[in-house]
Amino acid sequence: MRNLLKNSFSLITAGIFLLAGCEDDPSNPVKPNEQEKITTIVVKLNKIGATPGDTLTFMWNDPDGEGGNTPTRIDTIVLETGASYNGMIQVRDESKTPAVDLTEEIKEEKNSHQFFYTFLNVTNIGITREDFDTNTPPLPIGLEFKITTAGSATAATNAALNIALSHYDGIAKSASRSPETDIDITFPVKLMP
Amino acid sequence: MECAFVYSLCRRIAILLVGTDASYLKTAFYMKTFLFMAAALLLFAAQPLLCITEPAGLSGVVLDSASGTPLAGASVMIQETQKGRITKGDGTFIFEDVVSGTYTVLIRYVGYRDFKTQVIVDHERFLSVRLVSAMIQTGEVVVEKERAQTGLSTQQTIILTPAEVDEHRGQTFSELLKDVPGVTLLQTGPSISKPVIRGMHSQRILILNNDTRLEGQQWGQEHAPEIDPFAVSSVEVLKGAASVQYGADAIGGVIRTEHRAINLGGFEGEFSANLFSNNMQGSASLLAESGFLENFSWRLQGSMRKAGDAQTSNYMLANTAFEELNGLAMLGFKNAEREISATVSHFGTRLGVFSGSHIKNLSDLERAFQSERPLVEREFSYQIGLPKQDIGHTTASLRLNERFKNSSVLTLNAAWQQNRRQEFDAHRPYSDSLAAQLEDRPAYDLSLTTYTLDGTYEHVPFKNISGKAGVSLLRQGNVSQGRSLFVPNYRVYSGGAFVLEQWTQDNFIINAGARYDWRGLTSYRVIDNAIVARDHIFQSFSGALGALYSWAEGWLAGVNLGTGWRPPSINELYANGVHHGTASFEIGDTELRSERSVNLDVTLRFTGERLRLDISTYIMSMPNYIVLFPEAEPTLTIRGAFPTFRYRQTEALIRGFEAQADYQLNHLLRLSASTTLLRATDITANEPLIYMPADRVRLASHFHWTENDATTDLFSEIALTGVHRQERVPQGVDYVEPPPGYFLVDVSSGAEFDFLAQRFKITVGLTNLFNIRYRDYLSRYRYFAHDAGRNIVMRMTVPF
Repeated sequence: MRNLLKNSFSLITAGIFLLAGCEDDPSNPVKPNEQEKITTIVVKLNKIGATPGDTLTFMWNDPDGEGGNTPTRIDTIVLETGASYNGMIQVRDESKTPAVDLTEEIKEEKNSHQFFYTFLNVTNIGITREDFDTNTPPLPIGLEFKITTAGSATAATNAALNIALSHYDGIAKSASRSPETDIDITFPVKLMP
Repeated sequence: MECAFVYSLCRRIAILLVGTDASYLKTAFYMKTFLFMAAALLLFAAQPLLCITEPAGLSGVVLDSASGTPLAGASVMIQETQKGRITKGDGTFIFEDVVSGTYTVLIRYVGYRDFKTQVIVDHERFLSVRLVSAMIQTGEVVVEKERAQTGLSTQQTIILTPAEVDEHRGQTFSELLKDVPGVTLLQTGPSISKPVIRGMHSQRILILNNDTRLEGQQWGQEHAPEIDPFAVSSVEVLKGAASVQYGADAIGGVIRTEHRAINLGGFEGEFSANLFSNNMQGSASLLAESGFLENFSWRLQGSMRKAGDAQTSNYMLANTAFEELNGLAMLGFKNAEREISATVSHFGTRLGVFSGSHIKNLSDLERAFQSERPLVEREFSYQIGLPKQDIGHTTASLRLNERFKNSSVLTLNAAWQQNRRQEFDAHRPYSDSLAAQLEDRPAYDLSLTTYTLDGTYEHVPFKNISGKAGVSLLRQGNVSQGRSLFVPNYRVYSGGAFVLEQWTQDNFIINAGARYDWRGLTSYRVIDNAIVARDHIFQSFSGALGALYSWAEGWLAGVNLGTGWRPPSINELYANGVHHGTASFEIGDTELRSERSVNLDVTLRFTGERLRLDISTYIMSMPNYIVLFPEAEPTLTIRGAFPTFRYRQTEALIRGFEAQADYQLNHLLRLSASTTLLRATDITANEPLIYMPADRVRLASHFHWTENDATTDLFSEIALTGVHRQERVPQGVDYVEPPPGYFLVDVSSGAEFDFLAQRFKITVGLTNLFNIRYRDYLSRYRYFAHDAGRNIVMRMTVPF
């Protein structure tokens, strides 16, 4: 009887050691695969009638992506009253070397993406999206746009431009925003006479 | 005023143990607590008015150990009262007139060995005894299944019998428990649910699956327990801290499942199949077992479930389909002194995550709230798209139970288990080259391997004192391989030892226990291309003191003071990222200290011939409760501003009341009612705690169409569940107001009968009969969608 009991103990111990091989080693962690990070949004504006090539560039930059440090650069968009601007937007991942320009990828998936631009606390200002996808009827993409300010335009101290990129995944693209937002940033805005 | 004393004692112990400043004492708050307890006690006092004096007690069945055939004419004697019964044709016996207490029961039958056992009768108690033929040399009798564990707990314990478990076949493991007073569910859609005991869940409760502590990534609110509900024979729920016997983590309660006992008899098995109309779910389970070579037994069991998208009262929940495939093999040995079983099991599931919950930022979440229907819908489908979870859990365990000549008992359980959790998100990178490179790689991929060794020794009773001592050892490693990292790699070593003793005198039981646990956790992270290891050491004592007293026939009162602790879980220490689905940024704190709970629990039970009552009230104080606190500044990201929460420690107090009453109106009709009330407060902030279950009431009536002794059993049941709106929520933390209360009606009807010499059990049920549109406060999808609508359920069980 005692022998059998001893055998049971050794059986259990043997079982444990047999299984002890079946484990990955936690003490040697691998760095997670680099996720795609959108770190930088660049808004470029060309005043209509101004010298070609005289481009205004505004940047929203969070080099380490979500969390961690707060964004390092959020420019103020300064616009003249009584003027029109042709605008374009660039989306970049600058956490990689070399930096990756994601603008082209968005253009390729234009039928499932849409930028929305909203001026907050600014009066007599207009913004229209100038490029369209191949849906029927065509819907705006928003990589290119036009801003028009009236001579009477005014901006409050908290004036701002909100830019959002909607991703239509699993649902049809429409005039309204999708349930999935890839970009949602806000630039402060100032007006100059 | 007694309550005042007891409460302040409870609190003082908590303060002593964790060193919290006593200046938090707020008189008005405690006044409320006392009133609450006083109200509960008043209810107790009112009970004698309802009572019927004749208590029911002990019943059971006597079977042949080898064949399982009932033994008619066996003598069953209670030695203390000198009362005896002779078993009926079906081997059953019943003592209707047993006062609560401890008894020695002697069972005798010609040609069989005598069987003697100690039985503690607290409420309705059923013994299944297998007598061994006197011819068999090695034989002895074994008490197979009792309604309560031996070494009666002074703690609130609820046991679900195999028949009760059977009523929920085909549903998730957690749903087995949803009708237990004090237990609610934390649900993430129809396929993922976690049990909540008195407001505590996830890392605050311990689940023991067939005596092996279940180690998955249990800290996640959308991580359901990896247990095959078909393999479970009975379930025991211990409410409140049960840390002495089960160690750290059992701070809020313990759920224990048991598989079927080793069967030395002939070949037998069970087939069961279920159909659910709501999500067109089909599930089936097959079990076969047999004894061989006299003392050996084998068992094979497998089950599968496959379901499509679930639906609410008027729309489909896109991508909520799931599938599950489980298997188990057991080899057992059993003789008079020894029981050994080796079990290998695998649980595998693939779960779709509701498309409507896939959001990227706060404004997406706000749009989801404002929409009456989810923004993404699809036709019914069995297809599991992205996002989804793939989970596999494999367990191998070896259990030894040795009964020594002097009747002391040694139990050893060694187990290895591996939990693999892969979560795939729906986000595809913009860059085509990156997308190709990451093709099919899960966002999160965690492998958790755990070795456990638990030993318990029940010593020979010394006079009136019985008890046990035990040790537990654990080694655990977590490896993360996904595209993203939510928790780092880590290694845990832990060990604990306990002593639990019980003193019994007439109708009075006192038990006391103490335990020490040590836990060392080392995390491994990659910081600036170098591996950084960091050690965290946690250690503490747990204790429990309880008493049980029966002063009159059928009456039993219990009081239990227990304390337990829990080291912070890995996510509480290291989380740093966006929690998808709630659009919030969660930040861990590596400096968190252990959490401690002190709880006082008062239980009153009455078991009469017709009436059965079970009432309990409790206070649980947790001076270092870990909770997510909102930060003043949101986290600004390129996807918008995220509300930010940081894990902090606060003083929490939870009070509650649970009651259940069953009344047998006549031999055909049984009525039952139960209620669960809970008040949870963050004392430091003087606010209610978030995500606590709302008050609820359940009323049911069970009608038998046939007489008790008929071979055919036909029954019908109607149950009403009312859930109040959760009014007690902290201000300005949640995004939306708690949903309104709701009221559900479930009906079912079933029959158990013989057909072609084969036993069948068939039930048909309708849950949410009136197809009510509702959202439960503890549903994690309540921001995006309603809960499931009407469901027609068909179940069939065929034992063979």
